Amino acid sequence: MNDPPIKINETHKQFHSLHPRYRWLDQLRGVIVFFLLIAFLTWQFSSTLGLGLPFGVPPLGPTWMNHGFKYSNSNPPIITVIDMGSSLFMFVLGISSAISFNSKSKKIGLWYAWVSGISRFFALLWVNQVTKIFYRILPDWKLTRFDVICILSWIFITTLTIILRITLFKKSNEKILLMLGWSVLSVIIWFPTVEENIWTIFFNETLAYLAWASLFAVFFLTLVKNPDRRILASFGLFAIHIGLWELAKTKLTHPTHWFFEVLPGTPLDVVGIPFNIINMTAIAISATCVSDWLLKSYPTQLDGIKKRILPYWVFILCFHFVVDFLQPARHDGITASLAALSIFFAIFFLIMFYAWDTYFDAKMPFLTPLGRNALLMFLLQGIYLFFYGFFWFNAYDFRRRFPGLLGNAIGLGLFFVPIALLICIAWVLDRFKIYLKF
Amino acid sequence: MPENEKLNSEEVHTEGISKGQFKRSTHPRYDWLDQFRGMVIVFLVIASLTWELASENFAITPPLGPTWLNHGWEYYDQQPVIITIIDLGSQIFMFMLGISLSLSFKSKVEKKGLHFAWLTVLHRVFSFFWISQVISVDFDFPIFKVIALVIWVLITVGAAVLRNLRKFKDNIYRPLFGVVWALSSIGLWCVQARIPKVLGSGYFWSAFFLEAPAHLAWGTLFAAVFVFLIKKPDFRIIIAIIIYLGHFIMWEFKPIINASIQAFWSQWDIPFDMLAMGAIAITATCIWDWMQMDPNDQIIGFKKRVIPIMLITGLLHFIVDFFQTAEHHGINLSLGLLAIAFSCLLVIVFFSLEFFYKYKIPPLTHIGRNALFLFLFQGIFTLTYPEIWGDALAFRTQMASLFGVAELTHPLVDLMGLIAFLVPMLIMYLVAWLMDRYHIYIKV
Repeated sequence: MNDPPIKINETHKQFHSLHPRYRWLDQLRGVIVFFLLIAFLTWQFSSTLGLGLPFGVPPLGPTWMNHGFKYSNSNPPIITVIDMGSSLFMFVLGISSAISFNSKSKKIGLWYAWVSGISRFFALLWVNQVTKIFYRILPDWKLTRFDVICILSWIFITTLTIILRITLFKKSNEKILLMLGWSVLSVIIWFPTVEENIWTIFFNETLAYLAWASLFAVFFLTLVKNPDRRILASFGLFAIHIGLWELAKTKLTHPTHWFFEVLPGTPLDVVGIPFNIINMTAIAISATCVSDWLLKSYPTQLDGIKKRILPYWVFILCFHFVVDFLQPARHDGITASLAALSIFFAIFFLIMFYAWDTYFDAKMPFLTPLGRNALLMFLLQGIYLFFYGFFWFNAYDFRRRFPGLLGNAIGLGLFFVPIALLICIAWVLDRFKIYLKF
Repeated sequence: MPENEKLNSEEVHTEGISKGQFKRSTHPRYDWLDQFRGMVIVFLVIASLTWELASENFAITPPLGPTWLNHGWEYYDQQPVIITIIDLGSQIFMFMLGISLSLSFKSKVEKKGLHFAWLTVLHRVFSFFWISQVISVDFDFPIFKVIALVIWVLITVGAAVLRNLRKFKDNIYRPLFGVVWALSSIGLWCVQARIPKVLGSGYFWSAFFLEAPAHLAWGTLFAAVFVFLIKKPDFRIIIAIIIYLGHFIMWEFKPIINASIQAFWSQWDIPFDMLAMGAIAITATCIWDWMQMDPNDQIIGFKKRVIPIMLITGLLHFIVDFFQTAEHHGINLSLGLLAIAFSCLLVIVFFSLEFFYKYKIPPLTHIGRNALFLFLFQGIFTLTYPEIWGDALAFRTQMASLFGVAELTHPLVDLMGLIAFLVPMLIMYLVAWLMDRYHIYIKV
């Protein structure tokens, strides 16, 4: 069978993009955002059973859509697909990074691709800061004078950037420098308002992992052009992680705090081994390789799938199976086992959506608009988590107020309304071609 | 897709299979189905091992093997239990049997007649009931049991010889030997279990309704009956929906209905699992028939039916689970729907692997070609492992003392755990490979 044509629904210019827009990739992004939304909701209405509390009640929603550690009070806790949410998101981000980096460096130049990558890095760090501030100020809506000054400064810079972007720099490639300036300044301006330490903001949160791993993915894309060799970097990082984790395991109960033992009482005692960044980078590098194997390295996409992606898919599952005996997959620290399992599931979804799109000419309804604004949807979910938190802390709180069948029906509604609302927002944004991208 | 690249269901996808290898089969052999079967068997083997080496106390020792490859309730017993892919094992197996049944039943009816097709179905159904009796056998050997077993061996040898005589090889009554053998086996196994026990206790309920092979038997029978009665899958699926609706309602009123039943038969319950497996098998037959919607282009069936059914069952599972949480003990509607959605997903993936990507996962085809045999063969490990190690603690303690280490989670202990998993899997694969090499296929 010959390589079928790539399906691109609309011209990529409509997406303000230099590269074609793949429907299978949007669907893949969409499904991961969808799972992340479910994860937010099951988190909010999770059972207290896993916490070992005496007042355990059943959670709301399917059991397998909970975080495993919130479900079973065991060591190691059971792993579900929900525990892999951020790792799967990282994989998708890695694929997108590779597509956009290759396209930008080919059409405009390496400098442009790099500046774009660095902008994304700072933008993700800035979003991480924003979420921290959001959670700090929202309970009582109290802003200090300093907060107000920072926010006003940021609004001024953002407005200025937008004006410059749509006027002076509209048709100039230098607009990417404008974006870089804006993202760097945003991080600098918001930084003083954050209460958490440097380690937490820049190294120890999901968005920080995504930021670092995206940056390293760009670094390795530049450094090692051949994906067959670049994949070795991914396994090198896995090996480093395994070694460090094994060392840390013997030092302390919580591996991410290894340096607490080494430098206690010094300013560096907040610093730990960035375990999650190491493995997120390994995932991102794997994703760039998968992307290149599929779209760049072989004359046909089928060749790439058959010769590299599928063998790698089988291999990574075997790798997970073996490593899991020594270092079980964990949610709270992305071990090599969890990272490998995430890569396996990400490729599973990829080959499925690719086949749907390319051969079956089918797509899951709603996933495409969700996927096209994946990052915005990922951030919007946090709002539900926050607002639901005003009313119910967990399933026990909810079921105490709404017991029995009525409680189940209301629970179902509490899951469906946010999902429907998010789909509506995604659809409207897609309808008017509004896409939030870094 | 270009016209000349349409997927024709009549093209036999037996790449790499020598001529005559499956000459006893009346239908083409599909590689993707063998791969799918093989994967289910691999998961079943892993499930048996994680079961045997599970942890009884997490404060003392963790279990062996990946956490998500355990039964949810065996890993951590609480209410409601978490559901893993392993909990769906027998339902996915049923789904596969449903697909195979639809494929082979029609082919047999067409090529050898209706009675031949029905005899093979009955052979399979009775064989499953017999297997159900075998797995609940007590390991003691009083004289009457020995006599029953000897007679059974003689009957088995006789049936095997008769079946393979050249005179009967192409005879349309050949499956009759299988039916007679399976019925005799059931009778003799009732004898070895002592007739009074069979009549007076829950033996009958247990062997014919409660055990997993009995569910497979009923599911197969249900599927065959409705494939025979209702030719159009669009109508046949209604039967599955009706069964599940009945199941859903009865599940809500379980205590009342069970109390009524037990007023007459004390050990009996509503046969929920039998009904659910029946519905899964019927759905599977529909899936196969939909795939043949346009025999010249199977993609039509996928697009119009299989993919939508997968999405609908997935969504319905999500809704129903709020009211009847999926459980491992007792296949309720939620678990059944999840199993159907997941099975459809696997069908799509394995179909794509073969037809579009032209890729085979190396050992799965050999395993899949003798799926039933290997399903039974893995029982050896579930019987022998507990004799050596009761659970993860026993295993880890023994290994720690062997290597002279104090820690139960020492890397050497973990490594031995890995070997304890890999050895049975390698043996299984070797057996599968050898049998495939010499074209020995055990089918019922």
